[in-house]
Amino acid sequence: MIGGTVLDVINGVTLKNMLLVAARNLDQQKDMVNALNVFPVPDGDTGTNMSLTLNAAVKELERAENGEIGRLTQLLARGSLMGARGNSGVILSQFFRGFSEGLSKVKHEARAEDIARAFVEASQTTYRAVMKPVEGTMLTVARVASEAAQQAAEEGADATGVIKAALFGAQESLADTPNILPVLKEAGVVDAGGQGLVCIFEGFWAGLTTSPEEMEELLAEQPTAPADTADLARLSQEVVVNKYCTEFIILGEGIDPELIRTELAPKGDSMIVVGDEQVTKVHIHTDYPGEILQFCGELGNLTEIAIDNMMLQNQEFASHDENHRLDFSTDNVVGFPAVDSASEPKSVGIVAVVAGDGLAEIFRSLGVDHVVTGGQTMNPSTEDLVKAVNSVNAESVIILPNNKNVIFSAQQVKELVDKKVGVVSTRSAPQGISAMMYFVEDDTLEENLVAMEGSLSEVKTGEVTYAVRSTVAGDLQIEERDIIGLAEGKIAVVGASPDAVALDLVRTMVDEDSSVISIYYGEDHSAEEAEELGNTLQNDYPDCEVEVYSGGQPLYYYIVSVE
Amino acid sequence: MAQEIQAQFGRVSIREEVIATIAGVAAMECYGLVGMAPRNIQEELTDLLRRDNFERGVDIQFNEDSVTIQLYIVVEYGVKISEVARIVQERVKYAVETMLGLNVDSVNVKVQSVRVTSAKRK
Repeated sequence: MIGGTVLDVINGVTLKNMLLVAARNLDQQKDMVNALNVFPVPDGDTGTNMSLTLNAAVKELERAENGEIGRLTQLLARGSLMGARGNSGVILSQFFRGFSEGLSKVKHEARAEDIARAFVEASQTTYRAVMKPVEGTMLTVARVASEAAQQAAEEGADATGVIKAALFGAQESLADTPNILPVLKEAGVVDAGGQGLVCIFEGFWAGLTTSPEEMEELLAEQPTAPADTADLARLSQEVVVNKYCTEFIILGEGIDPELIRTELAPKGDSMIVVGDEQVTKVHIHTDYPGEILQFCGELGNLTEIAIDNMMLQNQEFASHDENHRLDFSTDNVVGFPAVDSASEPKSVGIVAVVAGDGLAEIFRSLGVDHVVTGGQTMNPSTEDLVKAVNSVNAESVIILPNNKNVIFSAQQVKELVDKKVGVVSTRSAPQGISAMMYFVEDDTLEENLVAMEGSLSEVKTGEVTYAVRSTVAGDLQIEERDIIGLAEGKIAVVGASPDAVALDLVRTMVDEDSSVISIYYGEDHSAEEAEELGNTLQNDYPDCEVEVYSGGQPLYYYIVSVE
Repeated sequence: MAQEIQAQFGRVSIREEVIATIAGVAAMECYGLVGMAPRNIQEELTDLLRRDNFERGVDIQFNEDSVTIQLYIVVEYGVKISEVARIVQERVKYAVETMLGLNVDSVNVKVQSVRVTSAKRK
């Protein structure tokens, strides 16, 4: 037993420690969890989502006035609900909701059977919110853990023993997930959400034996990676009071609007309750839309439910204001070139989404008005694109997403700005560059869109990156950290060195019609090696023109295009 | 109605019901969603006659070269509804685009009701 500590019961302080250590452990392991995504390119986010959800929940615990367990778990449930991110985060928040319900009656000391009940309740709650539970996932891991916890409690284990049983149960179940879900076995991984849950349970276990001094140290170094703290800061902006505009209709019999008014009035402001015994409409600004819905849901059937976050709406308005200001200003705001309103507006401007300094420079030199940073792991939001489009001094704007994951956000921009916006569905930087070759500034938006879309089939894109974990693709066996070459997004080549893989990759892409081979090397790759690769290719393909550029893109050693 | 795609060796046409079924199944796999809501009285009647109606609560609109999908969903009380809706949009778009090769212009989610499970009220 770790540290030799045996606790018959768990008090509020210990529970809080368990949760803090769990959040800490998950945060440290999140990259490992992320790497369990089922396609081996670095873009999984299960670990990050679960970690953000748990961090939001743990942050909420700071509000606990006393160490009462029922109160702590209530805050835990609330915090995880507010902070839930992604599918796995939503499941985790349900888990904690159930966990909290299981302990709601406990004041100061949770005994073995209380802890076991919390695990069982947690698992049951997760199953309740899904139509077709998929086994071999986080749901299974939580269920097996709860069964183990319950069995341990029945056999007379103490509180520590129950938590240990839950951890072991979860670990065993996690190891079994590939046998239940074939897609996991094929990829040679365990379920990512299940792994996240095991990280949390490991934290519970370690938290049991953390001394007060160790806890203090741990809390002192609490801040995590900068990107995440920014996210957390955003998530924790809960200062605005009554930020959810909540509206719905109750259908039922014998509804008493007056009763609703008295009950809801303390929970928010701007309240309107109108209707009769059969149909009543409720409108209220509140911080607790869930409580409002729960109360009214017991009076009848709820329909036409609309909950809007007015705080986020405010922020959107604020940022729109900023755009207006930019429109008329001639100051150059950092990171955001103001519109040069002194010059004549162009008829068509271009916004491109690019990752890497070198590629950004190439796009600018080709006539792109505004470059938005983004790519594989950090897709720009629609809002970023709206700002970029507004900052271009042109009547209509074409967006080059240069990544399949950005195309959708780009298309949404059309409805959010006053300008005419067109999107050329470029899925890679080379396609974007190729499209720019067909751009004619004096032509209309429509003419340009047709010409640019038409260029996309003329260029083939290859990418060289590393596998974040082992997998099998077709008849290729891939180990973690192997270098992989993707042709048009599909794994085509595997090897040990980026240059050898790039060479093989280009060989699969070149045919007798090819005339230009362009190589863009990434931020972590040396220019000499790239030059050498260029020379080798030039020798191999004397009929082609080979060009080497510094792309500066993250994660990808090489992006190559063959035209 | 059907959506037509020009493929190399001829046209492929995909009936509305097919798109709706694929969208419906993808939505139902999302965590937090506990049901599809009938769009209208007609659909409520069909529900009585058919057991597995995967097209329930799914509306497909055809645009020039894309489709717009409207989903009427029921969520479980206690989940973060905004996040569930976002996941539904993401997955439905992904499923329809990858399985059918159609462009999905937008996926609009209407949360029609929230289910409060009163399994335990001690």
